[in-house]
Amino acid sequence: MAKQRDDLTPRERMEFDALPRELDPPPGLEDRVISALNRRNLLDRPVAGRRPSFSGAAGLALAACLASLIVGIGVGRTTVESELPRASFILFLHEGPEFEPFTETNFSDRFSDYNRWVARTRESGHFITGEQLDQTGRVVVPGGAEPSVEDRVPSVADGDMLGMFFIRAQDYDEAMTVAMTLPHLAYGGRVVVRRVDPI
Amino acid sequence: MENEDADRDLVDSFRARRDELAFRALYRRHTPYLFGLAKRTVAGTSASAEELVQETWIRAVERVDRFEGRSRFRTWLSGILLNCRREQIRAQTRSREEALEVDGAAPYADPEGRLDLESALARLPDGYREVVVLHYLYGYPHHEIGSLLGIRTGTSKSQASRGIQRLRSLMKHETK
Repeated sequence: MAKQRDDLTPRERMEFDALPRELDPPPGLEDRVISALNRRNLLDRPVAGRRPSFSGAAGLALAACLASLIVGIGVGRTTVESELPRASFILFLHEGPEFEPFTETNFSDRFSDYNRWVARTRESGHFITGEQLDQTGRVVVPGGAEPSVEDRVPSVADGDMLGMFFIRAQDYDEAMTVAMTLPHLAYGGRVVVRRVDPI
Repeated sequence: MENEDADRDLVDSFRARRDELAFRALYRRHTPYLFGLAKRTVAGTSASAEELVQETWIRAVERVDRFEGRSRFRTWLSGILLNCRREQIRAQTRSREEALEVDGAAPYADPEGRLDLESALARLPDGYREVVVLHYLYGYPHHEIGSLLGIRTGTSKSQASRGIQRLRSLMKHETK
């Protein structure tokens, strides 16, 4: 695209050039747009038994997801509407002492394993969403008259948590069945399952 | 060219399957650009820019079968966004002529004296801001701006010229 901006002074040109053309959209907008499209029946709903393809466009989506990672686990945010009301559970992914760390060489393969799990779990209607954690944290420590808050990421002693998945399941039994299929376990990680308390 | 090929593949993939994954790939590729354009175009709250981007994507999906590839996909999306914006303005009972009317614009008074470029752009009247943002920030030539906004090329040029003068007075910059 030609830039015909000769009528600008060098300083003005510099100031225009310094403005970012792209801005990060607000978190949650993507899912709101998807919901709006679904309400208007403009997207095909996920169909049980149909495997999502991870080639072509989906591969690019995955690549975009990968590119957004700094460290740890990240997954594409996807919401699947359940036919039946179910409880929500969170699968916390901890490192644990036996965990094989992410490395530059295993990162892509490892990440693909997690994403395939997301795809399978989404397909079965269990998957709600997933998030990675950044490098900041607050640790609430009980004691005294009231708990204190420490501005730090959890230490090994706290049990490092790498990320979490939100899933739907009828009860703990079903949630545990899903959790037991997480590839994180095969890499020596630990998974903590907690039921989300509906407010 | 590579980007345009990738766009075409993504659009074709979405047309064929209309599934969420293919849409998300398109969304993630183009939304930062659309959101930037929306923020500068509305120069209002983040919420209104969000609504504009959401409406843009809804219409784009509704009409994606009509996209013929004669322009870049991103330009096509930008045209939809700008149309949505004009409808917003009309809904606010402001006509296009009023939006372009310089003398009718709210007088500017900044107690600090000088504005940075982003703030000054936000203070421009709608008609000036659209053209200035599209031409000077996003690099669209005037004939494309004319197509996108439904105005003549000459009008785009004159609005850009007046807009940049207004911008200078807002920023109190020395001209060359």
